[in-house]
Amino acid sequence: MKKKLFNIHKLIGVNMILFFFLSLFFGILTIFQPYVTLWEDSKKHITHTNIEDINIEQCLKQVSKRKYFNENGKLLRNDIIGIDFPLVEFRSNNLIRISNRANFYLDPQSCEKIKPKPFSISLLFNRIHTGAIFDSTVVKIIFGFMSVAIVFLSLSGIILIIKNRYKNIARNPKAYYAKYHRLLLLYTLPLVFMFGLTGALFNLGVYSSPLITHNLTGGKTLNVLKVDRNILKDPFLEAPEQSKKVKNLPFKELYNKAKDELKNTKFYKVQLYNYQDINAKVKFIGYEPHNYFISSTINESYIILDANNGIVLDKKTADEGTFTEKTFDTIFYLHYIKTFQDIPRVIFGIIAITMLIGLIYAMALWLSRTKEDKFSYKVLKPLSLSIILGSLVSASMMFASNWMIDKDYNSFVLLNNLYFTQEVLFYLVYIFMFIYIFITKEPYKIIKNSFYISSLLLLVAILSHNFMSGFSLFRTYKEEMYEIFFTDILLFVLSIIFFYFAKKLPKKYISFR
Amino acid sequence: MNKTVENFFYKDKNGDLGFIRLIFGILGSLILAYLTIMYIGQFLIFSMFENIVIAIILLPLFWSIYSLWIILSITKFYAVSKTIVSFVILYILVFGLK
Repeated sequence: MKKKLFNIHKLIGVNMILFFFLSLFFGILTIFQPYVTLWEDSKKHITHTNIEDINIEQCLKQVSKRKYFNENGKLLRNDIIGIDFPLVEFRSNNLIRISNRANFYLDPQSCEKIKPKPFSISLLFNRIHTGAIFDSTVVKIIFGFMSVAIVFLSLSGIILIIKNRYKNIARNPKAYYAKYHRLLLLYTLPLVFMFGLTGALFNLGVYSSPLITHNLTGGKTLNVLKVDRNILKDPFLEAPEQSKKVKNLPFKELYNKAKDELKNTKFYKVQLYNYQDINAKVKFIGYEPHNYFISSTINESYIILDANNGIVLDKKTADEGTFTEKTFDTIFYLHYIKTFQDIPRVIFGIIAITMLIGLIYAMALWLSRTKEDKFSYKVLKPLSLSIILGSLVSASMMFASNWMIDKDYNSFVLLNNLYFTQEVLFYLVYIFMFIYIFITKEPYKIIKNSFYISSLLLLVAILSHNFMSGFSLFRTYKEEMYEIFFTDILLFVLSIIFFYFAKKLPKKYISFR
Repeated sequence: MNKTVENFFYKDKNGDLGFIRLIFGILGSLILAYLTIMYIGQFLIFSMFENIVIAIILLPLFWSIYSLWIILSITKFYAVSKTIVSFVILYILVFGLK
């Protein structure tokens, strides 16, 4: 039986490991999305602003002087406005965003409308992480199956460890890979398991729900999204028609009032209804930083104020959420990690990197154990090498090309389609890596060279950022843009680590040819 | 004929997985897991949407547990009978004897 369990673990693992690798590698880059997104765009090189210091009235003039239409061609009301505050860790953005207008960003200091960079590499990483980049239902379902496979692999891995009582001695490379694949993934198992469960919900949820929806609703509908929802949606309140114009309380006063009412809450969003009207209302939405697990993205705490006299109309704290809201927040808390501060985020990133190493060791273990004349070995060796190293090199290429490409050449039109230069470059590097691996056929040399290349590319990224953007290390430090400063430092450290790794890589660990 | 019967009913000595185990272990367990979450969903007391989402979250867990249970059976006969018997029981539990 042990042999069968091992075989099924191997079979499912080998089939799904490369998808899991893609998801995990770009997931780690998505953990650092707030910093990458500030680093990549010169429009976001601004000093941190407190919400209290923003002149919202000034900013709202930018909204009211433009006319916007929705999809049905109806004029949008200019007195119903949703504003996302510049909260870097929650929104991955330090600009004010008007949430019910398309692509509407404001500088929090000068309140001018600005256009961020059209192609964002942090968004590209996020899209690869979820599998959305392939833009097909089939791949989405495969990513969902991958998540289910992770749950299965975690369970079967635990049973394997319990039944076999491994000794954890690493005498040769094979035993070394086996030992660390086992240990690293065993210690991070709760997180891996949680990623599996929630990832399956994100990608398979809608596709696997029709039968149960049909059964539970008594045959009314097959689509779970048509069932009345009270969670997982972001509704605007009902707003009556404009009646009489009056002057509301200043925004700062309302904000302070809301802060006084909900002391432990950090607000990330505000919605204004019937602004500058006699029925004006304001809804502040936030999360509670000290209420771990149950206060994150779904179980929001909010307060609704009358904008004319500041009377509290309605309020809810995280503790008053319903049972399901709390459960969902607990489940999603560690997948979204939106409410994490800088240091927990970095620790989480390091744990995820441990998982990634365990995963690479699993692949190396499979490669060094399988017979070389097998068909699956011949297919999977170049494929796995090109996906693992291709992700590394092309992700570094994204950082390197970000500041090298001139603004006018950011995108180009070919055969009536708009292409972004950086995205095309990303795929080109991938294809180039595949061809290189196919021709060279010597894993040791390939791994060494690709680490040298990506070390060089990261160095280029830092230098180009320092010289092309006009924001050198000293200037970012002096003007208190610590996120950007530390991103530069981190890229430099990574570059040195990659160089050192490529130089010292022992040959005996890459025994497969 | 004799050999097929032996192969089906007696304990496997080698570590090969085989077609029957894989089909019943992956697809059969999916059906079992789906019926289980349908059964669980009937007992949840929240709003309709919440019931469905909670049930769907449990799907991968049950899928994995059932497939481990089926794949690790001693003979192929057990693998098939585990699937069919539990299917019948769960079907009656979910849809009733109509």
